[in-house]
Amino acid sequence: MTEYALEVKGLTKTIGKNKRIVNDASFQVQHGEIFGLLGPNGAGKTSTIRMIVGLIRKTEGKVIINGKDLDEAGQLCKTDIGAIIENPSFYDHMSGYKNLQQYARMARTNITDERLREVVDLVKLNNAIHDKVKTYSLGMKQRLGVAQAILHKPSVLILDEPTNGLDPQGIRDLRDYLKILTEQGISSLVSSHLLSEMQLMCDRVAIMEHGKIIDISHISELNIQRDEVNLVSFTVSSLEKAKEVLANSTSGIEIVEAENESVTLSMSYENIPKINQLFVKNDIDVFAIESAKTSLEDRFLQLTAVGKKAEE
Amino acid sequence: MLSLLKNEWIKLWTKKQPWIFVGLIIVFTLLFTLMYYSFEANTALDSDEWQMQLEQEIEQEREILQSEDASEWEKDFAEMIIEENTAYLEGGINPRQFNNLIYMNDTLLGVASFITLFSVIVASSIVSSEMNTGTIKQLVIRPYERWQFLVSKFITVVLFSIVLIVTLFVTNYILGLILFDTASWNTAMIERSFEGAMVETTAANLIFSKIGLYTLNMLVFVVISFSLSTLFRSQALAVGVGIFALFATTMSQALNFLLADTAWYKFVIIPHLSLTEYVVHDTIIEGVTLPFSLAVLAVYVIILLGLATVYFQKKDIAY
Repeated sequence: MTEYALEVKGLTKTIGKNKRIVNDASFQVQHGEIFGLLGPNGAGKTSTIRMIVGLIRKTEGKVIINGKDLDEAGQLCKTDIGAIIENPSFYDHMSGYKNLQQYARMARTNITDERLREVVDLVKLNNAIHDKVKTYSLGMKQRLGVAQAILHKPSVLILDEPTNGLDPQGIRDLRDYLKILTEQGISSLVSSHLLSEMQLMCDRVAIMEHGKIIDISHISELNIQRDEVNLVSFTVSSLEKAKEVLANSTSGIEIVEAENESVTLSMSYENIPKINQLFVKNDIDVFAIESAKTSLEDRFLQLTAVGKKAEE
Repeated sequence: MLSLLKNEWIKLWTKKQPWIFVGLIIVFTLLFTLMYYSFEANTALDSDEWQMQLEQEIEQEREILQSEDASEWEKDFAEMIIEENTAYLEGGINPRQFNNLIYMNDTLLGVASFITLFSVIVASSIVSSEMNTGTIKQLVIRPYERWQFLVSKFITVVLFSIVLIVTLFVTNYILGLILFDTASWNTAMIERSFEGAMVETTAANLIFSKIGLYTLNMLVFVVISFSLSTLFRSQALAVGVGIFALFATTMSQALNFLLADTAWYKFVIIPHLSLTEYVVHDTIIEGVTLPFSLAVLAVYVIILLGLATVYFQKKDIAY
């Protein structure tokens, strides 16, 4: 087995006169890993992905899939890849099954009817697979998109903004498929501008801004740091009483926000049980304790703020 | 590559449009035949009478030639008719006789412009529609070279226009068998052009050279609209240019007359887009023969298809 499922080295895309929409991007996706590409719109995520799947030509750099160079063995590389580029479009006048047959015929390996049914089963489209695609909802199209991407059993799955336009159920389904596929040994590259999604979906995340990759970290590393200061909100029965109790306590905890039955506090992770105890002792019911911001969001804002300062 | 072709063929025929086009060709052939049948067939003459009538006509025209009142134009016309009728008499061909092959020769190309129109519409949409709906993205990420998609699409369009031509030919032939007497493919026939040029040959020769030249001609229109729709990603533009070229050929007679003396005109594509002229003419402009026309068209076809392929091969698909 090769070292990485997907390796990108110094990938650069220049359009027009020296406008670098992707600037020297490098990262590696390990076998069986879900790797996220996170960044605001226009950061270069989509261009990076399109260069990997060969939709746009790269100006510089290398793409290596399972040890094979895309420039030297393009067709071999493409047989290893399954991709969903944005909201996948299909031939509306044909049924979902006929669409899948189209993609099955284009695969380099023979895809049996049995395999087709297996994939349809996985994405739970059995009831609608013989209906015309124009009758499908966006969520169903996305599931058909997953089906066409995994039909030929690729080892690398590439998803460009896969959650765009999906409802929460659709997003959840997609996450579940990804988990199942990862268990089967597929490696995935996912791009998104939705932080919370990436945090739930990925093992590692690269943050991209202005065409550059500014950080790569493990999601587990990003999870709440015990000694760091976090924003935590308590949903309580009486806001006034809670404020009073906090003001009288000597904990030195700052109230950041207090509205809609909840107080948001800036405090360390270790202090959460203590505050909870304090509320309970003073007859304040606590309904929920939540981390107000995701750790990835913190990290993202912190990094992009640094980026902005450096530019100024 | 064969599986790509199969895919394209399935994609084409699961739409309603091609079926409608085939149906329309059959309907138009029927209508055209009914018109022809009701107008032309009752002018038919028996075998004994036709020679007499042709001779009578020659007499009448001779009188016009000798009369002093007749204008220059009338005299020219009279001379033409005399020449024609003499040819018919010498060849033993009854011009007022009807059989299935004469009918075919007269009507076959009448509906054929619709074949060009329908083929141009299909050729313009087969690439551009996939670019507009975004399905092209799902194609080019597959393990094939991009030009292979383009080639399979082009072959599909060509096969489709051949289906239309076969539909026309078969419908026409069957109607001919039903409505008229059956003649041998070796029957002698005379074909006239507007200016009175004549060629005497067999029915088979005439009909098949018409169909053959027509097909070559139509393929050029297919290439023009296929390439333009690929280059400009616009079906409207490609259909427009295709139809414009189709109309431009109806003006080519006038242009041929006006521009025949210029050195460059014979290298323009327009005069060569009415290849069926070569059924009766050896040259369409002085010095321009069928091989020359085919060579000029071949150059245009290679350039257009070459540009479309190179462009499609390199293009960034970022929409």
